[in-house]
Amino acid sequence: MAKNLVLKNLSKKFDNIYAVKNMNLEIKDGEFITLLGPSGCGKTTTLRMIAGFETPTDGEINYGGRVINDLIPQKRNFGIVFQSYALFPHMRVSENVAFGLKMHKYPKDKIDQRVDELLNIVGLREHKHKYPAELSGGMQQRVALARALAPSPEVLLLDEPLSALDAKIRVKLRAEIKQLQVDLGITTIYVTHDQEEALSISDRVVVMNQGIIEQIDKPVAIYKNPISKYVADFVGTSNFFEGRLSDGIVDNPEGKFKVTNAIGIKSGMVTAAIRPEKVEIIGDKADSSVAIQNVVSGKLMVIVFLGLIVRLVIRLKTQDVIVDMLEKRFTEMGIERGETVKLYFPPEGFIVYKNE
Amino acid sequence: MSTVTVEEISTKERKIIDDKFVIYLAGGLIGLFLIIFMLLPVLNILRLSITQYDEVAHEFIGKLTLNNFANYFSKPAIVQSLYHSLWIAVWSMLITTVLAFFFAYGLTRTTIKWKKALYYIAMTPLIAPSLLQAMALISLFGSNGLITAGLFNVEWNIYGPLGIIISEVLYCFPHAMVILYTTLSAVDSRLDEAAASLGASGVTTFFKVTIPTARYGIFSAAALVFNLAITDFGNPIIIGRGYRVLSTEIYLQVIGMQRFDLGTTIAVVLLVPSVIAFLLNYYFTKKSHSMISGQAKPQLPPSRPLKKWSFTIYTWMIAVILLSVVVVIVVKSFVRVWMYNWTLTFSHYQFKIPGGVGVLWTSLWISVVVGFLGATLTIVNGYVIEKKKPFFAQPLYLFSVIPAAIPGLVMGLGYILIFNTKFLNFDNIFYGRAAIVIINVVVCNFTLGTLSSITNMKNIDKSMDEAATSLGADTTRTFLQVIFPLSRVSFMSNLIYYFMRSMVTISAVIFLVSPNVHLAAISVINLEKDGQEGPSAAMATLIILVVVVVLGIISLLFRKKGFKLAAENQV
Ligand SMILES: Nc1ncnc2c1ncn2[C@@H]1O[C@H](COP(=O)(O)OP(=O)(O)O)[C@@H](O)[C@H]1O
Ligand SMILES: [Mg+2]
Repeated sequence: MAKNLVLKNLSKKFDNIYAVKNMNLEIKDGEFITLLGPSGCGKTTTLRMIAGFETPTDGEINYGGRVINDLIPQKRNFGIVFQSYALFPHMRVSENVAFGLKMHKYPKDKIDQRVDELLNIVGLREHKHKYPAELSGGMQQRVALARALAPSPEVLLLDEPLSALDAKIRVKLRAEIKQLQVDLGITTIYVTHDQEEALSISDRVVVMNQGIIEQIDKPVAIYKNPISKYVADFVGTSNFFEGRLSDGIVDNPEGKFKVTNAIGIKSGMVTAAIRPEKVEIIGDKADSSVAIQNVVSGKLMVIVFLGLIVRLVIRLKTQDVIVDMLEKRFTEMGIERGETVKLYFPPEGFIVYKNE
Repeated sequence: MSTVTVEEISTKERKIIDDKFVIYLAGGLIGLFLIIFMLLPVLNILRLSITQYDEVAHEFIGKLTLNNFANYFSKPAIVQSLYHSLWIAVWSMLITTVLAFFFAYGLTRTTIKWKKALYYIAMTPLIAPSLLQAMALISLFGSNGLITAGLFNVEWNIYGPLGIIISEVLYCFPHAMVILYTTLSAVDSRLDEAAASLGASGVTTFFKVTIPTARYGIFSAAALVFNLAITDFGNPIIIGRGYRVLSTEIYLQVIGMQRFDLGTTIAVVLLVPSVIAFLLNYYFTKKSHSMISGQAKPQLPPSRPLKKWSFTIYTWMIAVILLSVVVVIVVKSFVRVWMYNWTLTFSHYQFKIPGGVGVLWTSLWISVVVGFLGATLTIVNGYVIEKKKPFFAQPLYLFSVIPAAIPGLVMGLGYILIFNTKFLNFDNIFYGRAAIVIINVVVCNFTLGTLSSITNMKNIDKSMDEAATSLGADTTRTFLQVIFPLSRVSFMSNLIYYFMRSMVTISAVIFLVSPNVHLAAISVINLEKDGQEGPSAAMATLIILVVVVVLGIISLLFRKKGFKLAAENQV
């Protein structure tokens, strides 16, 4: 039977301040879901409630059709990987991995077998006799993963498991975690403040803001259709233009931008957001005296090479705009720093948000 | 990475005892223990101090009255003991704090050599009963003293207030030094450098920066010394002669005259300053800790030669004085008659007291039990209070810190008044008297043990607990398999602390010993009062030897495993 994890109106208050407020989320059996948001938005608190370390102030946690609010953590059979790894420093790698099995009273021979199996999976078989302090950060995190998975938990909870690691190892490990999760088919809740990590690893992403859910969707959808200015800002990079909307035109000090995606908003103060890759640089040789709709000129201030693409920072009259384009095309155009360029903001590239 | 198959391994049905229950049980038992063996005896003393006493039958008659206090304040000789105590405590406090401050300053802020040796020498008063100082002073400056009678042949001697004050200074020195050492090494010494670089002279910097930044540590050390000096019993009873202080007065009234009414009344009078001193100490310690910056200690620049030499001379002068206290007693234990016959002898080591040298073994086994019991209770207590925080964590914490405010003598008196009556007598229980001695020492030293255990628990990340829990461990197994192994060092240092306190304590147990359960430290005091100075020196020497040997063994064992003792980490 598929066991879904359902959070219903889940809230947690600390000293009259909500760390998590009215959270509703249904996590399907085998799904990889990520809680994404800046530090302090309530991700860890949510995870700790699911794990059973915090008691919800309100609402319920339902697992497989059963309310588990009051179930002690030991009986939930959820595996947890902590940000600090929390490996037991006085135990060898193998003892760390065996700990949960011993607690679950596995027979001795099964324990050894299972420990070896897991250490094989994370590629640390030859380090089984070492102490955690003798391993690198990446290896320690693998041990933590192996330890959490050893007693075959039904749900895996990871709280910023990679945040203490180097960028390179981070990318490598997150691919491994994803692969492992797919192989095991284990329901996984992953917490991170790193939007790139969230987008690359998850089936669905939950974007959180000050204790509430802003948006739940697949990574692509979150990126392409951020539901709020907050999400547009937090996930990926966006350029924002504030102004008054009327008749499909946003009136901004930089110019009048025609927008097509002002769904549901007729008029009023809005913010129009556009992703850097949607902005186009049009030929600098074009006639600069003619004001075309949605074209603004600015001065190229910064060029950052990122391999396949370049990221440009262009200074307009009142604000900077970030533009991403293929490196190849940028080189072909032969623009230099300090030059004035013309930018085209396609109307369909904008998403418009009502200002609060 | 290879792929995995999740194999369903059949797990036996696990029984997990409800965590809350275990914590309530452990914390509740410790709380109950403290209520019975700390709160009740003290409350009982308060009650008895306002209960009518039959001076002929030597028993309390159930009526409430203020007569005891009226009695107390109508006897000028006894009232004087209050002034005496305050006088002694204030002077001891001032002198000790100043001396210890400069000593600690030398160890933390100058580049003198041999700092570790100096630190350890400063700790020597902790390994002997608090009458060693008085014994040594009498041997040197008494009516038959090596210096007074021997060297200068003068009539002058040290008995009385001066002797008590000097003994207390020597006895309290390490207690103040540790606090000031911690304060001075924790307060950022770069402030000094910054002031100096702004052109302030050394003296200006010292008074305008060093002292103000260390002020809470200084106040807390002063309050502690005041508390120790006003509650000490061993030194004043030996060197005070006719100069009576509150603690000796309690003893004399109770043991000498069976006047439990006056005993309890004076105990209440003594409780007032000692509780106030404790509260101040507690307050300033908290303040002081909040000022400590977590920054790494910067390397000290080499001190100027004048500074270096002054501090070298100063610190070694104090070290020599502290050491000579021990040396004098050890030498005295091996000479036939001090000042008259300097031939070597071991005869003082044939003790003609009840129990003979056996009292040392009694002390030893009792101290080992105290060590394990105290260390175990305080580590569990620290875990419950700091990590598990049940709803009664705050009262439990409060009960755990109160013992430091209660003078040992008062606690001991409280014990005989409750557990040694016709209704309830610990002698009727098998090993009852030993048990009551053990419990008394454990309770009297509960505060420091619990506080250091709480500090230790604070240093263990809460994710350790949670990791174990999420892997299916209940509280008991989490504690035994994760928390306890991570607290080994803290456990050992608490064990050592309890062991030492138990070997040397006098005031807490003087009312509790009997011919059956006699302790070495009490024998020292009895022999000394009896005029048997050689054997008393011999017994004191044996106590020191046992403590040093046990400390040596433990630190050797621990060094092998790559551990350091808590005290060593500081140097
Ligand atoms: N035990 C606690 N007591 C009081 N406030 C807390 C506690 N734990 C978390 N908070 C507060 O709740 C909010 C959410 O915290 P957290 O869930 O840790 O955020 P995140 O993991 O997203 O960084 C923060 O404002 C934090 O200060
Ligand atoms: Mg967090």
